[in-house]
Amino acid sequence: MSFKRVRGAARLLLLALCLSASAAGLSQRITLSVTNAPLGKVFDAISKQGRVSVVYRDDMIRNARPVTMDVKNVTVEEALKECLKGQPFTYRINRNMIVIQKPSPSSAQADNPFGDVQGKVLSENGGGVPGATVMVKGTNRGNLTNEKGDVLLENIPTDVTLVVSHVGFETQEIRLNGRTEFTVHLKVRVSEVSGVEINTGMFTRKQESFTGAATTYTGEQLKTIGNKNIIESLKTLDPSFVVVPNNTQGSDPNTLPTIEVRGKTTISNTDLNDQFSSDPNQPLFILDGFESTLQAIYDLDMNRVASITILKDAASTALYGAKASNGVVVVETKRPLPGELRVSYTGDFSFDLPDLSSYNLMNASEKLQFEKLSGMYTTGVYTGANQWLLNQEYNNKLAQIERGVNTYWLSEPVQLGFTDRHSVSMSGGNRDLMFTGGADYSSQNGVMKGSDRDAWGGFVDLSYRKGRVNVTDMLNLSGYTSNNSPYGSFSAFAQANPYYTKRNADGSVPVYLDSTNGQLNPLYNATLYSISQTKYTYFSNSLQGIFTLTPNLRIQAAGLLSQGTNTAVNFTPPENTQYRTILDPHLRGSYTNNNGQSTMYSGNLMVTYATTVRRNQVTVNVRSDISQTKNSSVGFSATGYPYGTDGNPSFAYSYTPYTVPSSSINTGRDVGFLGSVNYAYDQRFLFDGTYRLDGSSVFGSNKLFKPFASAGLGWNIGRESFLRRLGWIQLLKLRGDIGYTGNENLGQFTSVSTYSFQSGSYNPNFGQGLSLESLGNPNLEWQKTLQSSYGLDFTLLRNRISGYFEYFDKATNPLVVTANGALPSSVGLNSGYEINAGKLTTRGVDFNLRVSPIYNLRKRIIWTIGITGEAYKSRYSDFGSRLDALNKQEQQSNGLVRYTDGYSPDDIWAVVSKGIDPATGHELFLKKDGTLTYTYDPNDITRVGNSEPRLEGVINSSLAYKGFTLGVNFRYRIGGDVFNSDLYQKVENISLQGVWQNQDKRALYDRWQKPGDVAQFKSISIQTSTPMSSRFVELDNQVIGESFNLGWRSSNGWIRKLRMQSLSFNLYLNDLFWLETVKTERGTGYPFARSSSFSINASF
Amino acid sequence: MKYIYLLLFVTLCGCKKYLTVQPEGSYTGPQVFSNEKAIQQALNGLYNLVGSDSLYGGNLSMTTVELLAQQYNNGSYSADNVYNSFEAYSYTNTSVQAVFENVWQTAYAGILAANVFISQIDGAAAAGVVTGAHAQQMKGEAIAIRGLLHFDMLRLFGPVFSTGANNPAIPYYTRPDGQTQPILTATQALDSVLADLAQAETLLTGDPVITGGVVFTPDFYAGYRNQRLNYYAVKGLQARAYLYGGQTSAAHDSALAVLTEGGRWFPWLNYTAIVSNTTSPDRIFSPEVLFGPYNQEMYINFNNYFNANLTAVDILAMQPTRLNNVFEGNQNDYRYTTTWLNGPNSYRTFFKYADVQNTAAPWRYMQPVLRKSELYYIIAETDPNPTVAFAALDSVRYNRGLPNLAATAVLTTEIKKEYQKEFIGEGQLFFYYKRTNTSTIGLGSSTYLSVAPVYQVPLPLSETTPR
Repeated sequence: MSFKRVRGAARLLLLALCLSASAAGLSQRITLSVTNAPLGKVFDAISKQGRVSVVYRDDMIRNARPVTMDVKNVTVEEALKECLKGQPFTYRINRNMIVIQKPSPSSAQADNPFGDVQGKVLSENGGGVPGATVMVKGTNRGNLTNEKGDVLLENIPTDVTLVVSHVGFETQEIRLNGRTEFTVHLKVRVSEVSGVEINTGMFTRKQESFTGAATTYTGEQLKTIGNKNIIESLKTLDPSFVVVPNNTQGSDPNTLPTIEVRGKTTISNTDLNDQFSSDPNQPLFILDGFESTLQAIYDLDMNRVASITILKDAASTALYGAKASNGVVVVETKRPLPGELRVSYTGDFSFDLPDLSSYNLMNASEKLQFEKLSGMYTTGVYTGANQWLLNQEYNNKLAQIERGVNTYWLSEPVQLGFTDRHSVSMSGGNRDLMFTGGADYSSQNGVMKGSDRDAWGGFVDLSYRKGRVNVTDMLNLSGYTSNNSPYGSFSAFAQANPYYTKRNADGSVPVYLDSTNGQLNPLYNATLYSISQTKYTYFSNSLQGIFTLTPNLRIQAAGLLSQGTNTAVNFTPPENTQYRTILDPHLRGSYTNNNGQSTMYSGNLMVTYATTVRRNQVTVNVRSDISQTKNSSVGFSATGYPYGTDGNPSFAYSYTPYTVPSSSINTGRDVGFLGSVNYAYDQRFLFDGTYRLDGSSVFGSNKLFKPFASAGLGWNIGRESFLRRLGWIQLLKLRGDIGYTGNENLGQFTSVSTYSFQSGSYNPNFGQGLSLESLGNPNLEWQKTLQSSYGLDFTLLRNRISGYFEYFDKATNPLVVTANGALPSSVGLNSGYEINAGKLTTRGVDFNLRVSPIYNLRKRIIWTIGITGEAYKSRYSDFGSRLDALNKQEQQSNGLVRYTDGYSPDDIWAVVSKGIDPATGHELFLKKDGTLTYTYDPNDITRVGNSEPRLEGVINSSLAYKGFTLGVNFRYRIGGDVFNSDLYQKVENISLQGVWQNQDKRALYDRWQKPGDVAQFKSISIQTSTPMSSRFVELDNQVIGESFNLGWRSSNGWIRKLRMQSLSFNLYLNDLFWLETVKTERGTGYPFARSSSFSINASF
Repeated sequence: MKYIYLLLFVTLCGCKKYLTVQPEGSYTGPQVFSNEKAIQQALNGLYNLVGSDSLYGGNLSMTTVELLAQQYNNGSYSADNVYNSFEAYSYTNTSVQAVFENVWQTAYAGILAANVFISQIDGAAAAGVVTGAHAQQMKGEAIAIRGLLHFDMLRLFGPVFSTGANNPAIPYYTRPDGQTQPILTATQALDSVLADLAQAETLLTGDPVITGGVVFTPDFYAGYRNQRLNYYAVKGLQARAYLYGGQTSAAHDSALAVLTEGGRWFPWLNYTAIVSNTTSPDRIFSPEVLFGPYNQEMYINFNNYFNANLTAVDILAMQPTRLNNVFEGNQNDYRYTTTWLNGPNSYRTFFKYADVQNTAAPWRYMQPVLRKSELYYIIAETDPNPTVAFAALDSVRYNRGLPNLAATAVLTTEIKKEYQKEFIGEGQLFFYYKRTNTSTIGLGSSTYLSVAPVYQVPLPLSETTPR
């Protein structure tokens, strides 16, 4: 940003005079010896030695003769005379300045009828401002200040007005009113200090005049965290952008993350019924002005990102009305720039190491001991088999262990993952027609063998600008192929017993580890050929035209057409162990194929009017949008394959019996009308107002349109004169806003019931059957969120301290709750039925504080430490009678989540446990009346914890020294409780099947054994199931080494010699460690990874 | 300004048209109930659900409840079946929970669908889409389905009635409005079942089966009445429900009414005809079945559970000694000779649901839910006169190739033995034990061990703890 301004200022130099050196006096002595030196150099030398300002016009002396002179210890005037000998110039002394001029036939006065004006340009704290432009208003005459802030304007009348401007300062006007000298104090321009523009996806706004809560990050900032994907970097940068940890899927490259911005607005519904729906708590993604998907953002090449803006509150998101409740993430890609052809290459390389440190499994002898203690080899405990048979089995296993068998299964399905991505882009063009284009390819191998993701993309952006018209076309093509690991779920390996060997002596993999007991070898299926693959291709083209009618009025129109196609193929070979019990060979093996297509068009038209009347700035936007999304999918499945086939569907014996091809088609249409007003008075008092009328086909025929609105107020306290005078406050802004937004992600609800044909059921006597697909709910009200947000933005001590504090309140009322899961299942409603129930209020704070103890721009050393954080609480209210019955029924069960007014969706419910009675090994429970009991009574269930962390955020530090940067980011989570399912399932509550599987070491060591033992867990010999109690709920504090980065960048020196414009390297370590107070297995289905990456970027 | 309003008006009208998108790929309720064929398909859909593997096509007949009754031998553990967890009544085992979840949710989904049907059918009749008589018959059947499903949820998830009639049992749904209904006590739930069955009986007084019996014609309303909840089946269910609630005389009356009024339409099996038919024997004794829905997956299930080629850990078969004991060594029992056959194994396996060659057999895929013999047992159990009671049992025994009972026989013991023999793979034995609150029963995996059954299956978590 600031570089551009400098370059713009540099252009001014050409038409202005050049002023050099200083002004001290004419008493200095000069010694100078030159041969054939340019006149300018000589002037420079004289001004340096003589400590005077020698003022001349560049173009005037360009053709002057070279100077040869040799003077010793002469005065300034003598030296000047010497060098001007035979030159067509004279000089004139004007106080401390020496002005070089052409002699004219008339007197000097005639050449300079108006005389000179001398000025001084100072900053607010009194220092001279070098390089400021001083222009005569209404003309193109002017000059730049020298290093000390002095300026000389020749031959100007003294009744003119001067315009003094400089990058980083506010432009000021001065009327000379007859004076020939002036002094001006420039005020620092606040917006240049914060320097940030907010891109709302519809238009850009200066952050200083914006009343909403929004944060912007540049592509470079994302790259300082990691080079994996945008989502991973954004979560570290912004405290309110939270990626919900997925303990099952770990670091699976083919699992999309779950994202929340400022908590939930809806009770999450994980069992989404069709592939096109998205998580109802997920923010809206806008890519280059159009709605996009998480998938597209996840796969977007980071190197293309110019900026990302997160809109969090009503004032910033109400522009998106019905889709805005969860926040909006606006991604802008880099735009073409005029200039020579530039080519840039970025290579990203990453190694992923599986993180198995959270596993705490028994070894072979421990496991056998555990089995013995739990009664597996005692007749009548688990089995009625003869004791001698059990003894024999025990001894066989013992013999294996004695033989040295102690298999570590966890290492079997994992590998060192490697990812490489290459992206090339080029851009160039003249000021009328510019282009940028590029391609990228990445290949990612996950930490589980066989899981990978190959993605590719290409784009071309063209921008044409002529006069008042600006047309931009953006074409994108992308796609990926992803494969899931043939090893299946990682948990199967965590369960395999260590006293079995993986392979036969000859290296073959047996089907059974123990055929008599039906223990399968988890490796076996991975040795077979199987397919679990998704292929996706995406195409989009958008065209935008901007027509500037007058400087104040602009019309903008844009349209987008896109299509995404995905194909998911699964093939399970007939040899797979799941078909072991299926005798009919025509039913062994299966193949499924699903094809989905999503087509979207979208268009918008916007009129912007902006004007400034004295200190009043007004911007008005009126916009309308229209869009349609059509999703369709069709699929089929085949059953029965001969052994040894490659999964080609034509080799199957038949379609799966009693199935029909699956098919779904749904079309959604939206229209929207938007009006937005932004008003600022003197840049001090700010107002934002937005009104949006949204029409959507998902609203149902009775209520096609819904209004949404927001209003925000802001006060730039830092611009008040009493604070401005202090000098160390660059920005201090107080803002607040309130507004309504909606959530369209919840899907389409119908007011009528729908039926579908039962798949494949044809009763020969009565024909086809229809089944009730969903029950209509004509009374459903749409979910609306009333959001309010209050924030303080600050930049102090010339960028040494900056940050923001925000308080927010999101009240969603009424909640739309999927009946399936929220109501007792006996209501019989599936996930297509939604009900209104209660209200969810989320209140919280976000903050981001950055302090730079070292901030030396001249030496290019900046050291910054920062902390970001978010804390929020959610509360239910107004659930009222609807779910009262439900809560009573819950008491009969051992569930953990309640809907109760005043409680949070993240509360954990159980009976309070007082631990294990040392005398008996049984659990002691606390009754509601305060007494202790051995008997578990569901009536004693209370809230025992809350899974939401009290505070979560990132502590970061970065050091920049010349071309080097070093960054570290630690995530902290404080105060959340967790229900430790490991303790519940792998230490206690181990069923018969559980005894057959490997378990946590604590199941052997930490359980009660004899009277007097103070143990956390019940006796091994107690086989009865343990109800959920507070004993399994633990406080979980975490510190995660999320990102470490070392970077180097250079754009001069030897880089230039290699004909490169710049070269940079980055090294990253991501998720290096994960410290937590709770000991539990992480990444149960797919392990987590620690990664180390390397990135290189070169532009030519 | 006027023009702006006009423009706005035109725009909004255009939008309204644009925003109204017709759902593709599904049928709306109003469409279904304005077309007689679609109404028939909706009712057929209810029966298909009843006969699905989740309910009477599997869990409530041949698999889950039979495991609870210890019918099958499953001593050893297998990686992918949890049979022994059922036989151990490990209701907190997640695999076991999933099965009962499925039963519960499918049953109540069926109840909701039945309620939608019941609430719409009168309107369809009023609009002239179907005749009043047909509407009445279909409504009666839908109400009977509602009663049947609730009743079996009560039998499975409710308390032992004789000791816990006033304990919470199940909720009862009669309206399709998405409103949660409270959990009723066993007595209240049973009363609701009986009320539904009584209403169904009234609506079905015009049932063609009363005058024409079971005919195999392709007539939606009059054909294959034994695959529908016909008038007699509803009466028979009443008898079963009354007996479950201990209302013995009402049970007796209902059972007797069915046998006297409709007995002729449900004749005893012609044994010689079956035996002589070696390729397509009627092993389910179909003429005696009062209600047996179409079980699409019957023969798939046979292969999955009973096929003699399954391994010992995966097959559902009775422990050989126990099988012999159940049939008291009497290998001439028709239920033994037709059904328990020798295969490649050292033990006999269960062939009741094996497919037959005659694909046109009208009873193919028919899943017996209520059969005539049960009504005889009900009379035997409820008739105050022991002579009548023994006569009722002997009637069944006669038709199973067994001699009359000895004078020394104990009635209750003999009734129990009959339940053990008659309903293998039909899911009635567990409920018999539960109704009589039998304290111990023989362990399925052992010839000599006994087990105390846990009769009340806990309500699924989805019911008690949504989310």
